[in-house]
Amino acid sequence: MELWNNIVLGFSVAITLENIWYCFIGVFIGTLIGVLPGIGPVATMSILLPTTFNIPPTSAIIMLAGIYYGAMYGGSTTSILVNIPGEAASVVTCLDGYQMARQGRAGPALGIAAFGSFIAGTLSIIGLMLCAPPLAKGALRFGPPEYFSLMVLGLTLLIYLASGSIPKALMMAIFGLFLGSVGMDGMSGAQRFTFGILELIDGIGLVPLVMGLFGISEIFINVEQLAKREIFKGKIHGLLPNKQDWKDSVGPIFRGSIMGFLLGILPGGGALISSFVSYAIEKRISKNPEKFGKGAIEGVAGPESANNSATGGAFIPLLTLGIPSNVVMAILLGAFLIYGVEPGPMMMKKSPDVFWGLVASMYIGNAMLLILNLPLIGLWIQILKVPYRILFPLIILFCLIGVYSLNNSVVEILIMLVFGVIGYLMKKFDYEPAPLVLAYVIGPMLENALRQSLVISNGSFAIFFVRPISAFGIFLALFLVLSPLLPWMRKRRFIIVEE
Amino acid sequence: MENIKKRVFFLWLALIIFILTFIALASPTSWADYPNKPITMICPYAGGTADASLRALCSYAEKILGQPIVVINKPGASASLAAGLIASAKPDGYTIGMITFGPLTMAPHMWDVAYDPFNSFEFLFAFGKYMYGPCVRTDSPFKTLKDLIQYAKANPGKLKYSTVGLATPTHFGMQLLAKAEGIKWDVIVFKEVQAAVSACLGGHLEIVSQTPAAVVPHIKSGELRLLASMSDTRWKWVPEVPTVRELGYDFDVVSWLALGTPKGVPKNILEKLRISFKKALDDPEFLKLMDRIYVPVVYRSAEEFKKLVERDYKVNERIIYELGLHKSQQKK
Repeated sequence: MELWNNIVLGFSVAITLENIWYCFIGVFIGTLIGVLPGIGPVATMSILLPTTFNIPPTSAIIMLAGIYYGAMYGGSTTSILVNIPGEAASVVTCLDGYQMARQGRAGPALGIAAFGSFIAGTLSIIGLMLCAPPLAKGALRFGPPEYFSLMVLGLTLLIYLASGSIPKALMMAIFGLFLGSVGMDGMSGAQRFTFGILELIDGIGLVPLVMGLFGISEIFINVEQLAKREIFKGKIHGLLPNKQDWKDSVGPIFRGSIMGFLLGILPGGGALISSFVSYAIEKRISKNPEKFGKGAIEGVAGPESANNSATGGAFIPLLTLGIPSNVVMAILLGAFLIYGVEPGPMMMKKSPDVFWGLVASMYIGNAMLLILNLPLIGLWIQILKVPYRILFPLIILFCLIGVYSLNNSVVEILIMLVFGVIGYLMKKFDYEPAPLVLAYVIGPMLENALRQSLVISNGSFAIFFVRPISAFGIFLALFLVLSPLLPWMRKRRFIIVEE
Repeated sequence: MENIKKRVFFLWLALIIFILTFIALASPTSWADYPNKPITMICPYAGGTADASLRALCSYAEKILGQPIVVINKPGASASLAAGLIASAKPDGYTIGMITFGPLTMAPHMWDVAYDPFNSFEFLFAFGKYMYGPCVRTDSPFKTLKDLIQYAKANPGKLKYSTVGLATPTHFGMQLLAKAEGIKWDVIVFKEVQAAVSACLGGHLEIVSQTPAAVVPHIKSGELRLLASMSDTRWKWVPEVPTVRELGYDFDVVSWLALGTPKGVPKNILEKLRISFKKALDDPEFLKLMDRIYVPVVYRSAEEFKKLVERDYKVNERIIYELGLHKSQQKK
């Protein structure tokens, strides 16, 4: 049947010495920049774009794509090892991954992240192959009202990110909403809290924020205790996940894959939100939610799978409709056009070899990444053995360079340091950063979606309830918020936190 | 004490090397030498067609100049952050940048910028032209601009159009059109191009007004229909669609990509840059590339460009004020 023919075509294109080589370069570079905090696929792809003008288009696209999903693999490494998200999308992995590392279980954490990413990546490619066009059409039906309800849903899941006191988590969420509002408002031109600083017109910046809040603050906390004891105490138990780990992780991996894939298709959705959602869901349905935040492997398996399958999903709107769903896809779109390939509904007909070659190369790339990353786990663990007093200045150095490499902005370095201090104080007083980050990301999107929807409806709020998808979303959110109150739910005790 | 002696020796050595390097780097450049080290090119966008076209241009210009050109992305504040950086850089010819129309003709009215649009820059030339035009879905009942206007007159406030960012040429164009016809339609602002286009494709609003790069692929695949070109020329890829001037309106909106340096760069270095980049611009490979990403290459000399900037600066000031976006109208 036709699908089989296409798959064969794809592999015949992808399995040439040349393309395998470019695939390898792509995923290798991707992993590297994923591991390095700060610099990400966007910058790297832009820089490498001119070098690709002289190589065959298919190879170039394979390489650029490899950089993107490779970065998702590498991003979890520093999240787990030193609580610094290598990619903004790996923030959630810090929550439990780092705790696992502190308990000597960095190996299993890295391992399950790699395996989960592989499984999720592969599943998302299968999804891409089988149902790309109808899914893309479905994604188009998401207009501002639907985004609004999705964001509302996202905010309700925020509670599940908290492993400590709920009022404090809510306070952090409000702080996050406030931080998200800094910048010039897109729809009215009003400047909010920019204090005349030009760099703040576009907002505070997610990457400096999370690097400071998670990474730098952790260093401050650790250095405080350094005088008394070594940070990563305890023997390092094993390099790979054991049987129990696998049992715990199978569910999260599959759920995360599906979740990430679907959210990745939506323009503006993406890896970050899907990893948050996966974490919240895993915690919600877990039998031991109190484990989360203290080193639960589900908290690594789910989000890591989600953010990798989101990368697969992100390709769908680009390849089937010609609409990029995030900045990376926009660069790929530019690259496609430069090579003379037109992504969109015509692509499967006019350039099937590029389309299927790319898909096939993604399988190969995922496999390569797994093979690359597993042996590296042993190497990464050695880093933890380095005495912390030598390690932490290096970490700070990498963070500074990483943040600067983004936009060549000293202001962003300052932001990172300021939030490092804020994060330190937060940790001291037991306030959690995760709800803040989620609110920071979702807040502006929610506000924009709300206002855009209201312009469409000429001010009527009914628009959210008249349209089926958005109505569903809002009712689901209401249900989630109110469900603990329902008497028939009370039979099962939902422990969100240990009081 | 041997250890300390060794350390002191190395410290002196390092200091001397440091001073020597400093001297070497700080030496003034002459016409014949220039360029003798890599040139920094500041790009105001991260990703996207402007970034891609700039990097492509630089890769051709590198070969002509004989030194690598390092492109640094400095996005922010609708490209005015990068403009500020270029204006305040050392005028030795080693820092240049791409300056777009927005920072020169719009941003100064909306917020306090760190440069003077008329006196802070030396322009090499303008090379890329962005055009704009409203598009509707092919399954919509509007076949020509007149249909759209008629509908808008009969149903005020019903039509919605999407733009990316407020106070952009496309926004101004649609507002000028509305003013000329006495109609009212509402703008929905998105943060990214793809969101603006998807919203129209998905049926959430009726009109999307964007640059060719954003919509021509969809026009080609039959999903969108261009109703008019709001710029001074027709679109090369959709030549059957008239411009607003041809339809009787007295305005046009365009935006430009230009290369510039800070003011004060020696004339001979400026000329060398100008000649080298112009040669890169004329490279047929480069032109082919720009054609593929739907950015027309149109050359305007520095003097011509300055006149364009002056004209639009005044026009935009008025429009921005009418839209209520002027910085003096922002409540403190």
